Amino acid sequence: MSATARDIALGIAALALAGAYAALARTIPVSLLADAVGPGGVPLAIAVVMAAAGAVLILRSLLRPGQEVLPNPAHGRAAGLLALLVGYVLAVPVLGYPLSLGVLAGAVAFYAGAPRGFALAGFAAATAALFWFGFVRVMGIPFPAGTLFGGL
Amino acid sequence: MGALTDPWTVATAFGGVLWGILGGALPGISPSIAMALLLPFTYGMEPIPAIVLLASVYVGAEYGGSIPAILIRTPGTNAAAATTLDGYEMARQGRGGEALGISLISGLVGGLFGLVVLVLATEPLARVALAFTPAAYFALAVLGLSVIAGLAGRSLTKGLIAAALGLMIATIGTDPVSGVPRFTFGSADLLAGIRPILVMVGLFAVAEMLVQIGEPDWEKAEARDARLKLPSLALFRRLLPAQAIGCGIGTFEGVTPGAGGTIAAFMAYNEAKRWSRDPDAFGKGAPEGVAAPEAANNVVTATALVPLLSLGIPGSNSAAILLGGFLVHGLTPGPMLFERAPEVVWGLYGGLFIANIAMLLLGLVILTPTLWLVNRPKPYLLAAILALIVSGVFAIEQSVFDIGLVLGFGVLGYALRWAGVPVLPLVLGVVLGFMLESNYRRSLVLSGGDHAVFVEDPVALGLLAAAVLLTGFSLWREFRRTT
Repeated sequence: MSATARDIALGIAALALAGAYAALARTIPVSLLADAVGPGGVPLAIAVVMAAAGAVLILRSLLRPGQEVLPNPAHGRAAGLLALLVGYVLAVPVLGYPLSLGVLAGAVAFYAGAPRGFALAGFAAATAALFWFGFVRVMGIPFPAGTLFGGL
Repeated sequence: MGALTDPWTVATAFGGVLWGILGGALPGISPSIAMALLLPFTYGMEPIPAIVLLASVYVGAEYGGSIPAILIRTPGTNAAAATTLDGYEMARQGRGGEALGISLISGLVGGLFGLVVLVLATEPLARVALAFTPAAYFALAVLGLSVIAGLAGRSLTKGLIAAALGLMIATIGTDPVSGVPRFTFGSADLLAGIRPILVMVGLFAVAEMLVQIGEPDWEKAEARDARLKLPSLALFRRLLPAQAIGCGIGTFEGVTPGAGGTIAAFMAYNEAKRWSRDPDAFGKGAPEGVAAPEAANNVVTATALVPLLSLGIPGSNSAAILLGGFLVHGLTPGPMLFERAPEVVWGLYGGLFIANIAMLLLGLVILTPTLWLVNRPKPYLLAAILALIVSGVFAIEQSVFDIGLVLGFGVLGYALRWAGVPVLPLVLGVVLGFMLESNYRRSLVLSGGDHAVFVEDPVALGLLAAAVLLTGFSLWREFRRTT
């Protein structure tokens, strides 16, 4: 996607976000303790700034196409990594911290290009053990033990 | 200055520098990311060691970034990019150890000079700000946001979008005046608002990992280069003018919001070349071409804290993370910090001094382990960093919801990069949102709802006028660039 198309997309997203945010701001209940501005006053002003900036960006992009060189990260690869991280968030209450973290570390390393084998498995196990020791045993953080293993 | 004798603070300074050198040496891990990765771990610490730890990471990362810049022509940090020009040439000529020594010593000179500027400049500026009324504080927040929005990226409009987005995030939670929940969607997890630390870890660290997963592994360094050689006294004297140029430019760029170490390093390189007796040697392995940018980017590690400590306005990503460290401990940088917690400010000064000494001592011995780390396969490094992120974030409040929020901010940071939107205005919006809104509304309560209070207060009027002028300048600059 060209820089101009990205700027227009950003401008439209800014306008949409400003509209939704302003609509939500109008629904904020006003308590008896409220001041003259009220709890929705500043959010409405922020929405106006956002909408104005979005509109200017769209206009500028239409009148003067952008020359900026923008990065082109690999969206598919990023989405895959995000899926692994979301999987960790869903798995940790069930599988518990050390197992989930070991699986995450191994899966991310494999996904990033590490070859399958004992080295990868060893890395996953070592990461799980090291982090469990540091966070749970040394720092005393109550990480989930996992409902699968009788934890809460 | 008890920090100088407190063993725990000294240990955290050394630990921070060590982490900073290792993190800075890894291409893709900027000083702010290295700091963000440690931010969750400062929750359980006392304020002074916590702040010193984060500041020390910043100091160490600037030297760490020069190691791959010199040895493999891959700057570990953006600020080290200027160092590659002559540093790598020196390495190609078999003088890599000498270049690393020059980088280390010049960084030390710059760091200590910046610390002197920080100590001398911060408190007088803070004293001026002590007289601020709520209207002036509101105007200061508006000025800070407009300066960063205009200068942090190439487009004011994109900067404003980022700043507004940050302010939107800051309004999530309970209204500071009436106690009404806002934008919480019925979630109890959002009632207390979103902690800036979660925004920072997501925007800086997770977003970088999402980008890095699609990038190839970086070049590996050769072990033959792993011998650091400190400059002789004669060479040190020869480098003094270049270091002085770096110190001068680093001071100016450090206190200027939105400028930072990268611009300072390149400007210092150019000026050192311009004033050199042998400008043709630059780009071919001139020691001055390493000394000037390294002195400049290390000056910035201290002088970038001047606007943060005196006015509460962070001028760079790293200063914003440090601000997050203050907020974690219930401390708000700005003029009142000198009244309420002067020991923290002086502890930070002492910690920065120790950090610079630690950089010298660790720099002499850490080259081999650093090269070992840089030479590890990238897939394992990425996995270990992500394990650290998810574990550290959970450790803050033992909340899986927080990990979800951080991932969400990571996606947001990734999308903003794709769209060319600077992240710093967003972070500033999040951390200044409360100051802006509460002082705006307090001013109106005191004035009986009359907006004239913002023009009747001379300080507020001056700051708002400066904000308008700077915004106008940024708009003019943007217009000129696109025509």
